[in-house]
Parts: sequence; structure tokens; C-alpha cells
Amino acid sequence: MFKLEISYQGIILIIALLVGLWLLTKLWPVVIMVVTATIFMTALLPYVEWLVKRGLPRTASVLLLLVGIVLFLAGLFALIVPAMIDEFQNLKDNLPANARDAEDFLDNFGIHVELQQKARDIDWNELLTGEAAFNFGQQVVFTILTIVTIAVLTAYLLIDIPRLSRFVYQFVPPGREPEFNSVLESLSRVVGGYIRGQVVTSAAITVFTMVLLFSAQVPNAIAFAVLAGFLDIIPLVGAILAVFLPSVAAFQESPEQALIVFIGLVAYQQFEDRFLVPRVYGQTLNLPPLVVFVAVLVGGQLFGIPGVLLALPAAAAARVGLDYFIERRGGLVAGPVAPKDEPLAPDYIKEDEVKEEEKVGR
Amino acid sequence: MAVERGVGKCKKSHSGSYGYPTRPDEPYAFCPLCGNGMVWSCSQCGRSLPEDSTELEAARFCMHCGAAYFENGDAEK
Repeated sequence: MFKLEISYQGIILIIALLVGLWLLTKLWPVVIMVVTATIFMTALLPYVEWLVKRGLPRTASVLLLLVGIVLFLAGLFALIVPAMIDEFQNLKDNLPANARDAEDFLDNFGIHVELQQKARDIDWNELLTGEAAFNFGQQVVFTILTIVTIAVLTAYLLIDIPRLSRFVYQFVPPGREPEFNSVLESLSRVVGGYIRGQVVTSAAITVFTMVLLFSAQVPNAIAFAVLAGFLDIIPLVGAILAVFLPSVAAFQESPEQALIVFIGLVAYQQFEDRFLVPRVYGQTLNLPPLVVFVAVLVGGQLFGIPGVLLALPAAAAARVGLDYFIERRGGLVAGPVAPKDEPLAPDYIKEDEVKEEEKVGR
Repeated sequence: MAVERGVGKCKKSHSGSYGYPTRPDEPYAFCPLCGNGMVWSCSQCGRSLPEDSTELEAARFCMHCGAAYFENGDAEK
């Protein structure tokens, strides 16, 4: 007869594992915030180290960097939010007229729908002052609190990173530090490089879309440009939506404007994929398209929108880990995926290596 | 100021390191486990020892100049 024997240590381990999993599910929002803060920390760390190497105290470096980012974002919001409110007002005022145009357009194809009356029937005051407005306000407050919490966590991580390093290195056996350090550096380059690259590509598509839509005299140019910047973060589908939505909006003006916008945005996507991304990311995210696709599906299924947004850095980080284990088994042929340098980060690590090489007379 | 760091071993293949968090800032002369002298670089060409822990443990000769790290090229086990 089959008899299962488990030692006391085994039982304690299983109980600890179950309690850990239970805690993980209970503390999931906190876990997501800590992971997000860690990702931002890796993105900002090279700049903090750069400032520290130039003689600024670490805390002052972190505060300077974060205050700079907050001021930049505040300026951006001050520029964008009033324009978006104006555009929303225009959208509201012109909705019946746009609905009539859409009716006329659909009539050409034999589709008869009553849109103009429905647009007139919308009670904006009820929409904006009722429960929806309350919920929206709650959502805004929650989002702002989350952002502030992540910013504070990121600041603490950046300030405390030397102490955290010492804590983690306690568990590394003597002589294994270079390998551990190499994996950490690879992870830092891959994850941080992704965030730095994403900021640049999102900013670029926002500016291009805004200029294009203003030039083509498409309404709500700023709103669509900001939307394109956010859509650029979403892998695969984001690029399609960033072309499709402004093109549909331009089509409401005229087919010619829609064609201009469509061609302009498709051309920009080609420019981004073939020119901008290779230069901005370097080899940071050298992932096969199939892996990107599966990672996004898995991330979305498991964690929703945060999962979609974190899918690529997580997949790239997983590949660094996989490369390390393959290398340990002596089977690595193509070399590790993590790049040796990255276009957007000041390379403080490389500076150290050069000095060390000079020291031994290489 | 660049942080200097490196790995080394004694002739009994006990690994060590310096310059990393929780480790000494400078290379140390003797192995804390057996008291033998530590080697941190090739005595002939000055190059570092391999950073991979498996390679470090096995290395007896410098891969750049072929010089032995220890007398007679032997690392005791």
C-alpha cells in the first residue's frame, strides 16, 4: 500500500508556501505597486548614479530627478488638460451635426439609423453631475493616490538601493558575485531600457500625431495625440488603434483628410518600427514576435491592463534568466540577450569597466 | 570614483571576492578558510581570473598567457 511520508520541515515548507500564496492574493495591489516602482527605479537608476558620480548626494539626486519629472508632467498636463476640455466642449456642441453627417454617409450604403435625434437626447448635465461624475471623481482620486504612492516607493528604492544591495548580496556565496552582478545588470538594462525607450517612442508619436492632425485640420487633435502616446505602450494592438481612430475621426471631415491622416500615420509607424525603435532600444528588447504575442496574451489574461503593459519587460527579463541558466549548462551559442550598452542611459557601469581595464594595462 | 572589484582563489580552490557589497574593499592576502595565499590576477600578464564561478574553480592556468596561477600549476582539492 502506498504510504506518503512528509518530514516536519516539508510540512512547514508547504504551510509557508500556502500562506505566502494567500498573502500574495490578498496583497496583490501592493505587489503590483512595488513591482511597478521597482521597474521605474531600474529606469531612473542610471541617471541617479550619474548625478551621484558628479558629487551630488544620493537623496538630493533622487529628489532633483523626481521633482524634474513631476514638474515636466505638471507642465504637460497644464498644456494638455485645458485644450482637452475645449475639445470635449466642441465635441459635445458638434455631436448632433456629426451624427447627421454619419447618418447621411450610412444612407449612401442603404443603412438607415437614427443618430441625430439620439445625439440631441443626451442629457449632458445628468451624465456629468450624477453618479457617473462621482464614480469618475473617485477613480481620479484613487489613480492620483496610486501614482503618488508609486512615486514615493520609487524614491525610497532609489535612495536605499546601496543598503538593499548589501542585504541581497549577503545571500550570494563568495566568488559568485560577478555572475549575480552580471544577471542584475542585464535585468536592469532590459527592464530600465524598455521604460526609457517607451517614454521616447510615446513622446515621438504624440508630437507627430498632433502635428499631423493639426495640419490636416482634424478636430480633437490634442486628445487623439495623447491617446496615440498611451496606445503606443500597448504592444501589437496599440499601433493599429493609433492609426485607425484618428483616421476614422478625419473621415468625418472628408475622405481626403482621412487619406492624408491614414498615410501619414502608417508612414510614421514604419519610421518608428524600422528607424526609431532600433536606435532608441538598441538590443534591449530583442524578442521574437511570437514571444511578444504570447507574452501580451498571457499578461492580459492574468493581470488585465497592467499585465499587458508589463508583458514585454517581464518577457525580456524572463529571457535574461533563461539565458543565464542555459549558459550555466554550457549550451549558450548566440550569447546573452542583454545588451552591453544602451543608447538612452549614461553608461556608468561601462566607465567602471574601462577604468579597470586601464588599471591592468589592457 | 570607480569601484574596484574582482574575484580570486587560493590553491585549495576556495573562491573569494572584493569590492562587492558585504565583501572587503581590497583584495586580501590569505584565504580565510585554509590560510593559503590568495591569487587575484595572473602574476605574468596581470589579467583577472575568470568571473564565471565554475571556470574560476577549475582554472589552473591563465587563459591569456598560459602562466600557472600556483606553483607547478597545481590547485589542490
